[in-house]
Amino acid sequence: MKLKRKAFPVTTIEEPKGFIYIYPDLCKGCDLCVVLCPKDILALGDDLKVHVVNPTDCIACYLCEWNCPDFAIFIEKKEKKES
Amino acid sequence: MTPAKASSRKTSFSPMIHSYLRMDERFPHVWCPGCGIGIVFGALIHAVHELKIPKKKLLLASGIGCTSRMPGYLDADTFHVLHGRALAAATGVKLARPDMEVVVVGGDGDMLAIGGNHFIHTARRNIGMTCIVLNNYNYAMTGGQQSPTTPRDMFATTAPYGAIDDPVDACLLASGAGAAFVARTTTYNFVQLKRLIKTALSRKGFRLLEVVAQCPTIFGRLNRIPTPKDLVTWIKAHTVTLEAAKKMDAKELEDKVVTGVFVDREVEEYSERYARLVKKVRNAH
Ligand SMILES: Cc1ncc(C[n+]2csc(CCOP(=O)(O)OP(=O)(O)O)c2C)c(N)n1
Ligand code: SF4
Ligand code: SF4
Ligand code: SF4
Repeated sequence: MKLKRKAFPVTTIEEPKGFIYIYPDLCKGCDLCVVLCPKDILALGDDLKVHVVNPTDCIACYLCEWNCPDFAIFIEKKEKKES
Repeated sequence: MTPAKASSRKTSFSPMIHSYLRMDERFPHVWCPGCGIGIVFGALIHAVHELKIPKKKLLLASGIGCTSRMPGYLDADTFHVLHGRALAAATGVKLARPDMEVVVVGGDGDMLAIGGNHFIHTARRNIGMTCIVLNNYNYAMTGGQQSPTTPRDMFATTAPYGAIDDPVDACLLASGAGAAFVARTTTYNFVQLKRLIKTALSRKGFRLLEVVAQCPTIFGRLNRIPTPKDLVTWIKAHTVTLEAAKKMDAKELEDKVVTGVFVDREVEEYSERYARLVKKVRNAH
């Protein structure tokens, strides 16, 4: 059977070190990424979904992505510019 | 709080994990907010991706339980059989198709209670498969009955005054039965979790990985640790590495989860022995 993929909307936030992608329809507001983020980048909103509240200090450590049980948050590191 | 503004960047980014999932009406998945099963599933997908195991060569099998819902979400060959019987069914696949990378997942109830007998004998025969036992200390799907791994004095619906049984140690059981690879980790340590799945996938014979994982909704609530963050912190506080455990006495280790690799040895895979036998018998006639 061919899989009918569904497109889930994604919110992209740019940080100096990379991009944070959040899929609000997949997020269940469990708080794990918020608690495990070492830089307090994330917080739960009134909608009980995760939001980026500190858009400058993300170190692209992937802890939020790895610990999200719902595959709702992802990090893309910016390539280091050759100097 | 003031949420950051979304970037207007048009992105071609698509998460690697999503390409391994049946991303259709099934999502979001059924697991509760903060449940550890999704973390283990993510680590398994990372491991499979990094080892470049083709989807066509991968089989994920399970029995019944919250954990056992996992194959339903993976875009590869999967099956979901009777409660406790996943190892037996997977044995059939491995003997018929030794080229397949067989992975079996299940909860502590599925693998160690109703499926305990299969667990021992699949380990004893060293059939080539990776078995991930997700230990959330209870029968979560059916509402939180005591399981063979519920620690002493912890609560379950069938242990309202605290469990009086001594729990079983899945790693000791598998080591005793002769498994080629035996290890334990927790959902708190994603890096170790992914690394151990990768190691297990690259060994021969029966490889057991026990993962202590949080079930906040049932086990957590019954034991007054109802939030995912408190439950992972509780797991972390009870975790000691194998090296640290060697310096501790039995009393100190009583309520601890020891993580690390317990057995890692070379064995001849059962499917190879079986193939040789088939050849010998065919040639004799
Ligand atoms: C033969 C049979 N007996 C009992 C059940 C009921 N049952 C469904 S799931 C389950 C226990 C699941 O517990 P576990 O394997 O620990 O998985 P978890 O839900 O904790 O991930 C039981 C007893 C069943 N489905 N089939
Ligand atoms: S990548 Fe690290 S620093 Fe950035 S949001 Fe995620 S957890 Fe926080
Ligand atoms: S860990 Fe995932 S599901 Fe939980 S709040 Fe963060 S993004 Fe949402
Ligand atoms: S009941 Fe427990 S194990 Fe089952 S999905 Fe919910 S949190 Fe996870």
